[in-house]
Amino acid sequence: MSDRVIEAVNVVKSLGDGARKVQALKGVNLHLAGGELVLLMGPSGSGKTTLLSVLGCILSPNEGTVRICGQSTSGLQPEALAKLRLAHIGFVFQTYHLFPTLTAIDNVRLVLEVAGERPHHAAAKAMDVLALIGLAHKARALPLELSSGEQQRVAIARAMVGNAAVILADEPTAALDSENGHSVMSLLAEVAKIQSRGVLVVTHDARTLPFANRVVRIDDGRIVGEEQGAGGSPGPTDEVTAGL
Amino acid sequence: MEEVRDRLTSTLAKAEVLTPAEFRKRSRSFWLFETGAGAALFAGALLGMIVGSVIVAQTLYSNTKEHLNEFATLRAIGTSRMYIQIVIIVQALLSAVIGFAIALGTGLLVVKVTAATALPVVMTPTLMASLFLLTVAMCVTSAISAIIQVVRIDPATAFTR
Repeated sequence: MSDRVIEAVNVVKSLGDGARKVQALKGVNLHLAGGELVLLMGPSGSGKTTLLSVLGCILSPNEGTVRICGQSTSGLQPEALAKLRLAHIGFVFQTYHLFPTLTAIDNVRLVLEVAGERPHHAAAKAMDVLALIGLAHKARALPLELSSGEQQRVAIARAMVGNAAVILADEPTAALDSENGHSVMSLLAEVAKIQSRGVLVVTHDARTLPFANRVVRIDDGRIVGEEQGAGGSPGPTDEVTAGL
Repeated sequence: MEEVRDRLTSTLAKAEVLTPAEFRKRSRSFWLFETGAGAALFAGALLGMIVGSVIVAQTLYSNTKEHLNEFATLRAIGTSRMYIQIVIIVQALLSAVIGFAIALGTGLLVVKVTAATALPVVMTPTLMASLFLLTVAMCVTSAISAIIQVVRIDPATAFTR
């Protein structure tokens, strides 16, 4: 494991206003080091997604500090937070959120183009990452022409392509069958292990447990437990991750 | 020319003698301001501008609303507001170029058909350029409502949709 890529210290976050105000996070402390895959597990409404949003600089904490690659997010304006996300954080969403009118390669290279990379360099890098995850042959396919598992792998490629130090995944296996869920988790575990990125997966899918270095449990806005996981991909010969 | 006019005026006491430029100015003024044709022309042009602007604004607004999820995803991955605003303005400019090309084609056809008639329609390069700039201004202004909608989007919705 390398240095901490993300760190939350005494994070408090309230959502809503007036009578509807709810304290979703009540003093959360959490860190993620490069090279480890951490599962964040907890029941619905426990604050998992709010914590993911705060760690991903999408929501700002009311109290406490979040550091991304050593840089505190306190006091940063929305545009500065967006820059920080673009530079350091890759997101994987439950329902992929690929752009339906863009091909797989265009979905991946979009992140680089937004960051100001030249189109031909962006296309070359995007193709490299697709090749790395075994989807080079699907580069020109639209999301609707891909299986659910392939769509999620393209989403992971999109999260990886900008060399993000942190990948935050929100229920990445929830919409997938067992085989595709296994392949997606193998890929995330390999991304963490071989590329020294920190990967945080919010999930309540028990099938993901064998892939975790650590399992952090959250309930009612508080971290209530932490345990060591099995520690990585159970299938080193898995064809999905062989290229990594 | 002035000398000829003075001689004609002195010879034809009851007639009004005008130079071609004066006659052109007087004719234009008569048709535009002393008959209903001018008012109808201006009202038609104004109505066209309003209807065109509303159609472009509605199209951009509904198109943006349909793709809020994609815009939220763009914001979540770190895209700046400026980039997203440029995306919408480019859409507005495309609308302007396509709309103007269709209108220009139709206009040039009318110019050709009326060229040999007693009332030819004239379209000068300056008029075409002015209309293009007006069309671009209308479309970009129409993009404001769509831009406001996108600027307000919360990137956190990418996790909940």
